[in-house]
Amino acid sequence: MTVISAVLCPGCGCLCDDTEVTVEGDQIVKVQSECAVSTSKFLNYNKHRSTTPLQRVNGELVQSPLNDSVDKIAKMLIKADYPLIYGWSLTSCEAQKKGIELAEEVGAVIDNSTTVCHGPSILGFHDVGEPTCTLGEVRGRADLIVYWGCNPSSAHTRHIKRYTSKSTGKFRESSERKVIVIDVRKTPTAKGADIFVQVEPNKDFELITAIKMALQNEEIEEKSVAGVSIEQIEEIAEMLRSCEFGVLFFGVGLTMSEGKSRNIDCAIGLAQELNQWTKFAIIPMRGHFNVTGANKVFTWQTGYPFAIDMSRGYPKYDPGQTTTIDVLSRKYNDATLVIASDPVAHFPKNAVQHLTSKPLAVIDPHLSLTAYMADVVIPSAFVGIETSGTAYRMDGIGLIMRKVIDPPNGILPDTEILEMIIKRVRELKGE
Amino acid sequence: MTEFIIRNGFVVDPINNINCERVDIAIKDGKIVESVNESNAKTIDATDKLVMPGGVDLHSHIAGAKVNAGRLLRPEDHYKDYEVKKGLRRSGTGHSIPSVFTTGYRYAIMGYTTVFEPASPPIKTIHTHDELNDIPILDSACFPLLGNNWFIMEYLKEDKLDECAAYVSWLMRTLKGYAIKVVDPGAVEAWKWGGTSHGYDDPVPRFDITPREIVRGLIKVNKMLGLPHPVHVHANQLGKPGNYKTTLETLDSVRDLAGDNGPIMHLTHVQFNAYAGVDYPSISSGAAEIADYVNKNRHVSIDIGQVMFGDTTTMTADGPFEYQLFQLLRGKWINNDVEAETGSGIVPITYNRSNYVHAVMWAIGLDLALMIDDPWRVFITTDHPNGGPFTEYPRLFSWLMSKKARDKLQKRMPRLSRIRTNLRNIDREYTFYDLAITTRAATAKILGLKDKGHLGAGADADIAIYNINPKEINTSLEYKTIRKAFSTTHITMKEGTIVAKEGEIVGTPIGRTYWVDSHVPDDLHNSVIPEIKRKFEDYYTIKIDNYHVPESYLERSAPIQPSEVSAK
Amino acid sequence: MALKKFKLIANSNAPIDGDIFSPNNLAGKNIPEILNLETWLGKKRVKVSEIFEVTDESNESEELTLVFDGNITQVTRVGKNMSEGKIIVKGSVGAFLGIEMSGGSIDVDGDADTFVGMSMKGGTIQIKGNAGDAIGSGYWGSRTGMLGGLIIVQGNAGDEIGRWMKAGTIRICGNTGILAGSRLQGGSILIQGNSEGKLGASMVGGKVVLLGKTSSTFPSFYISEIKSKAKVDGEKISGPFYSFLGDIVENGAGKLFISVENNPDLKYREDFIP
Repeated sequence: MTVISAVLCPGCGCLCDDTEVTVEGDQIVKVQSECAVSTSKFLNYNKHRSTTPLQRVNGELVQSPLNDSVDKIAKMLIKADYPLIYGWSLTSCEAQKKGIELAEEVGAVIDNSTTVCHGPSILGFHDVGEPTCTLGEVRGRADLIVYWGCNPSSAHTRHIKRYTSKSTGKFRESSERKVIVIDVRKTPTAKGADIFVQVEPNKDFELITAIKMALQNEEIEEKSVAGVSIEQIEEIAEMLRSCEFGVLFFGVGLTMSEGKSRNIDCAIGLAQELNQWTKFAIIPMRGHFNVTGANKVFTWQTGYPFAIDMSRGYPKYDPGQTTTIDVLSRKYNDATLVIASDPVAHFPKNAVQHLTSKPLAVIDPHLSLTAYMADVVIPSAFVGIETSGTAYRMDGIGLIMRKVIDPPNGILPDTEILEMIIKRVRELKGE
Repeated sequence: MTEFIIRNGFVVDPINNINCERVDIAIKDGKIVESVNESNAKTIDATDKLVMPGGVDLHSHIAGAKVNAGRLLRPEDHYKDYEVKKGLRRSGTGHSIPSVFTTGYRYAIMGYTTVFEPASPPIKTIHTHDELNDIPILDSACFPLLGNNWFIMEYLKEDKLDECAAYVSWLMRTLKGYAIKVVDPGAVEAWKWGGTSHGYDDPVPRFDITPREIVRGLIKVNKMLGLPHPVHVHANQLGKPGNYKTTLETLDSVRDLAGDNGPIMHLTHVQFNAYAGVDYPSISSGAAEIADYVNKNRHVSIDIGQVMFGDTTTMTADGPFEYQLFQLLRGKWINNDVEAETGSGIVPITYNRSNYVHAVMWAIGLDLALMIDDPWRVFITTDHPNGGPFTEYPRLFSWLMSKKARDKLQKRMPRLSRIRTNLRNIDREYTFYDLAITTRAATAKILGLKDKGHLGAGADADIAIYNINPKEINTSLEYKTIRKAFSTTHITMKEGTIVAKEGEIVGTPIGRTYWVDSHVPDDLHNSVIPEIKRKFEDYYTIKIDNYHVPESYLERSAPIQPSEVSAK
Repeated sequence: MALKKFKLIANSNAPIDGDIFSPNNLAGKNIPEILNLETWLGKKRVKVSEIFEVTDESNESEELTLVFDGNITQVTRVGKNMSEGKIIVKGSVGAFLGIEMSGGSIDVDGDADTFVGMSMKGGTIQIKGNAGDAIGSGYWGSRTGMLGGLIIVQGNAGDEIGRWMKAGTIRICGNTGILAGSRLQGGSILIQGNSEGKLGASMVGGKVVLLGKTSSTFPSFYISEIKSKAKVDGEKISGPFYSFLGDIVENGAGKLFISVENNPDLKYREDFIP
């Protein structure tokens, strides 16, 4: 029996690194963690598992030797006029690097889940920048926490206790912090807040604007904005202005409601402006445990964070055209490799229709919905459980995930599978 | 491994006192050797060409959190400057913040073989190494940022020098760092409470220690640990008119700590800290005073941080400075405060030669380079990308070597900028020898890299052969030729492998990541570690176990033992 | 011969780079030369002959006209950088139509995709059908959109029309989505139909004229007066209009003109006219 401590959890963007895992033989038997998601992840990861490489023969998925599947994927990518490689947010940086290498080799569009999540945050960021900080700064100093369009009590379960309002830092007790939640409905997070502001759906941009006006002492010629009274707007503005250090966390409530990247542009602008009066930062709530890593790796290797078109042998970035949903809805791509993601479960219908109408390969630990629709499936090991690798927390801190247990026999990490595909592609291209 | 002889080139090797002489260079197993078996060796014909050691850049922001944030901030910086995949050469993008592969290639094509990342937030050093691992060809290292570190401020406040040294030693070894970097000491911590102006003797809020005390303490620690490079300091008050006084104070504040072993403090990108005047309209050059001090005092070295006209991106751990730049320019702005340690800021900028302030800044960098007499203590940089992209170095070299080039450009700048700086009256022109010292020999020496920066037996075979005949060229007049020649080598060799040939990348060996395997006596280490662990739990949001960068994480680890380093 | 006709014969749906299809690029070239030019079909380099049939047709005009016969929705960047001549698309066209153009004209019978006239400096683009998002915008992060020229969409347009635009004119005869004129710095946008809202958000200059209905306005636009007419490109457009100034939070001096007649919901704003 082995007890491994300081294990990083691949559950969400919090990337907590204090889980303790007990391994006996080839099983995880005990998990010491304050988070239900983490405990469940480590104890149940083996369920719905993909256990053997598969290929579709006469309409059915049948077992196939690994080398065959690798060969089929390589050929599929080479043959295609405009292949797409999508996923990446649930695997290691080392695998993501292999992805860029493969995309460059086969002239593919390579994209990650940012494209359907915090893409607008990045697009807004390109225009204005971002005053931000690491989560330890929040814990150390923040006396005002704002959650806008996100629900950490459900989606990032330890966020509040480990990093924000219920945590204790060198310069701030938890009792000294106030929480404002702004959302369209009273979420579990809102129930625990000091102030809940119910914003009219799709009117976040208007509300941010009104708060900016109140900060600048500009008169608001309305009785309410976005369903919020002028009094409450002025109260919030005053709280923001007079705190010692405030932090705004935001999620898809802001990125995916009407306005999208312009919402984020405006929200970042609010945070920047608040620095005239006080210290203020803004942090996006990243969901997948390594979507931040995918953005970072893609950016340092190509200059761009997602939606990269390598079809001409160099990175081209045209969100709106090279983003996965746009590629699929225009039916541009004629082959797709999906890795560490399940687009069939999440994408819009017409995108899924096109995705599954063309050659499709999946590399994933789970037998996902996308895998069920694929032509080739290769099972892979769980990063952070069965294989180690680098991952980046939502605030940009890079950490090395541990391997606590061996994967089942024959199941390889993404890095090795991708290396095999790259090698086969080079052989076929005669390099 | 292939043996080579580089024949008939005009060699410039200041460490070995060779100045444009025809010397053959023998290479075997990646090293320069006295001789090789001529029948086995491949000849590289360097007739009528200039042969120098590969460039050693001690301060260039090429890898890590803020560099990458800069890349992410500026897709518009990259989309017109891209590199197509070709053979060994991976694709990528420029311009002011190139992607990692492009960074390695572009430096190699210019003849540089060693480039150090001068600023890594300790808790983000895994990220720094993650990027350094991906930069091809170049040998590198990173400097952990310690000037606003909670542990250090607390130790130094209590005069616990031994404990501080033990902590720094542990940190350097754990994070695989190379040298102590100090940026705007104390002021970044003050900025985390909203303060944007911090003097050298202003106490840091809640820590009650001054920047002067932090700098002095760390210089003492550096001496105790015998680290290969002096404490690398980015002084307070960067960017502010009148700041040259703070710079002089900073330089002088450690004079009493000087030993006989060369500089104990390296002050970086001093151009940004060499301003006289009281506001931007009256800004003028404080370079003469600083040069005078550096000329009279041997305990310091500097690099210039030259401004190059055009569009670029400023990025620094000096968060408060970047905030003020944002308020001035009102464009894009990133700030990123890092728990318990440091911060950073990023603001794009376009330096314009018809802008009075920019023209003054431009002249100041050159003032410094040309008024400091000792080329072994002044190094040529642009603080890439703050002053300009490193791909602009050849242009900068041509200005250093040609007064005519400088005058020609300065004529197109505001008249007042010429009057308020010294450059127009400076006749001095760099020779190839000076250039080799300030971009290779001296930088290798100040970094403690005994196998770099020279072409004597035992050195790494890091060699740049330039298409320029030093005997025939009139460097004062042919500045365009200088610029062209230093932009693209005839051949760049890295540890005996030819990596670049007339602008083509022909080899992509993995570069080293140097780090200092620093230790203190076991009993001292054991006495401090429990407190470090306890505080760590309190200060950081990660476990101390996960702060650690395993040696295996480095693609090619090159540890240096402090005792290995030769006396400077 | 001054007219070249193109018929798409590609059997793949991968995006085609249409940047070679500009009158500047094809001027003086005969059919075999044009057929021999290369461009991208997805990741493949193809000759024009593999993806288009090209024929000469006569035409009175001296300037070179390129006519695309049918839908070319997979062809992007048609008319890139052109400064003269004419392009006619007898169908729908792909994204980045007229990117960086500085002169000449483009006519589209069908629909256009996103990013029509990105970074345009001059010339005219007319679209009979609908157009997508981000008409007249600039490249990501550049904070600069269209710098001149005229874009007319007879149908509807998408979101974020004229984002970061600095000069020029955009006329939408139909409806627009949200955020028309967001981050506007100069130039004019005329919307004859309705806007889905968030008009002129974060604008600092230029003007947006709305003849139809908008769902609401931002609080950061102050009403200054009711104007009987609004000027767009020298043309006087009849109102009356509520005239707003904003975006106040950006210290903006942009102007919003919103039809009085079609926006009864905004009547309460009249109380705030100074």
